[in-house]
Amino acid sequence: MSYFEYMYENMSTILGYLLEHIQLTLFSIGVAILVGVPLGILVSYIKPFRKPILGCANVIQAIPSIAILGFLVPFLGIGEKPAIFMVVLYSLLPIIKNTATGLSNINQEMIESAKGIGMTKFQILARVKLPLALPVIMAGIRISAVTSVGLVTISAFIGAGGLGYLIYSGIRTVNTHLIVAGALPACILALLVDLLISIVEKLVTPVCYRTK
Amino acid sequence: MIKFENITKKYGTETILSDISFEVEKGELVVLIGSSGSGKTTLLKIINRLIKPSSGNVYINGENIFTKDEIELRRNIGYVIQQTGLFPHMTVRQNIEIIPKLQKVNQADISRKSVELMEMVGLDPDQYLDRYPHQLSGGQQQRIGVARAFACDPEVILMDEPFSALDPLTRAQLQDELADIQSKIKKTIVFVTHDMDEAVKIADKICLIDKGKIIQYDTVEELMKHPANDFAEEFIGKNRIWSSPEFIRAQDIMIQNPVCATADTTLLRCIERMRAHRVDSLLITDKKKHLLGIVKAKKITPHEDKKIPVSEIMHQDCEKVSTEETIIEILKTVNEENLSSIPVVDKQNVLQGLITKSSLLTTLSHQYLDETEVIG
Repeated sequence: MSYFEYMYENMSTILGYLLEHIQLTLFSIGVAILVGVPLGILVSYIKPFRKPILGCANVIQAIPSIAILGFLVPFLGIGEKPAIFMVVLYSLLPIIKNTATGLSNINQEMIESAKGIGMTKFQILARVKLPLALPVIMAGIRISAVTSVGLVTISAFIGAGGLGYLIYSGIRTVNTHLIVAGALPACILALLVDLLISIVEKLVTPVCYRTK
Repeated sequence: MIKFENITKKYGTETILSDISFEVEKGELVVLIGSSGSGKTTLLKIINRLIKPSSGNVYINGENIFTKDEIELRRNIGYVIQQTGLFPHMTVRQNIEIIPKLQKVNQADISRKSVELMEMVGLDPDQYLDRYPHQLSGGQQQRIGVARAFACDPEVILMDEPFSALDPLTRAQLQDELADIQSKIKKTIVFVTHDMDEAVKIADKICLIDKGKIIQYDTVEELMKHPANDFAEEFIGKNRIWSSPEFIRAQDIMIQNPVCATADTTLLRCIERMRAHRVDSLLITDKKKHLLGIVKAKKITPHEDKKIPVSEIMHQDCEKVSTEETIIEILKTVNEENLSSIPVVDKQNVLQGLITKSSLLTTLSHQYLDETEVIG
């Protein structure tokens, strides 16, 4: 039986896991954005925070993800909770870093002119800095999102579900059909996410930065 | 209107501005000029509180700006810098309207004002309002910058080297237009530049700053004629006045205390006087130095009777110029009437001096021969 026939036969099961996988990824990325972007803003405004925050995010990224999962289980139990927590932790660094870089790389004279014509700090952030930094921030989110798809796969290890479950079962039972049934959709999902976010990235790029 | 009181700014041990005090009158365009690092931009940014002085106060209309709300203050002061001041992700319209919109001004009023402002800076509103800054030339971007500064109808406008990145032709054009706009709407403008030609072109008054101190604060004319010290003279340029001949006046170039005689002097004495002073004409005045006429040597010689008073033969309604007349007008008169000399009088017709063809020649030759200034 070919891989495709196998996948076709087990379509509904695979789709179920895929859906779970997408949900986990989206939720994690959502949380990562909600935490990472404000942290990035904080880092760009308060310089003393830069080193400790970016340092922590760096260290987390250096720890093997499977170890973090194992470490989280005693605190958060098994299932989705530690999985989401782990994915969020790993996604933070590119988001924080890109947000901070994007915000700090804006022409200082322009910021001063914004101040000079009477915009408040918040107005400068919301109307000038963020729109101009959005492409860079989106690039960070894109990296995070693609890695998340892979990370969610690993989290099946602690019973979070998703396509990783198929891969693990395949490994345990030495069933390559099962492995491919999990890996192929995960791979396609990662590419799709990348494509989707790259489109969003283009849409939010201010006209002045767009290349024809 | 804007009053600086003992403004001092220090960064660590370095003094950027020391004890600056001066006042900008309402409706005047004052240029802060100096070489780079003189502190002129720092002084400008103190006005809209982008920089906080170490000590001293600034008053606008008698109100201390440091006790006012920062944001409110800035919205009432226009601010123009080089092109980088425009927001690249906003259209021209959004750039101009940003502050009025934040102030929740009614949209119909905002739109009307935008069209008005575009017309003021000489750009077609229909064509340009919905473009982005990068789609405009440097000169056009700078026009938008100027338009934005006027958007809230501020009384005070600050300009920080707004034209320095433009090509000479565009710069000259924008300078002319700024002077033109200013002559119509009379805002109080503080303008920073390092370019003396620019300053001369647009300024009512110039404030020359060096090493954080005011060297001289004066009108353009005074600054050119009476530079306060060697630095001022050096900075302004020795022969600068020749590029603005409208500032050279009769009183600057006339011969003071010309040879004269009273009306009752006899012809004989007149001739003696001319000989003694080696001149060929005499100015005839009354006892109070009011100019009555002029007499030339060749007019006297034919007369047999040298005992008659000079008043009988003098040329009475001779050409004369006032002390305020510019060199251009004097040259015109001298050429048209083919005069060899022309007396200078004040408003009460009191004789002040004399300009002769040879004194004009001496004056004019100074721009080519690097000698010390005669003017002043």
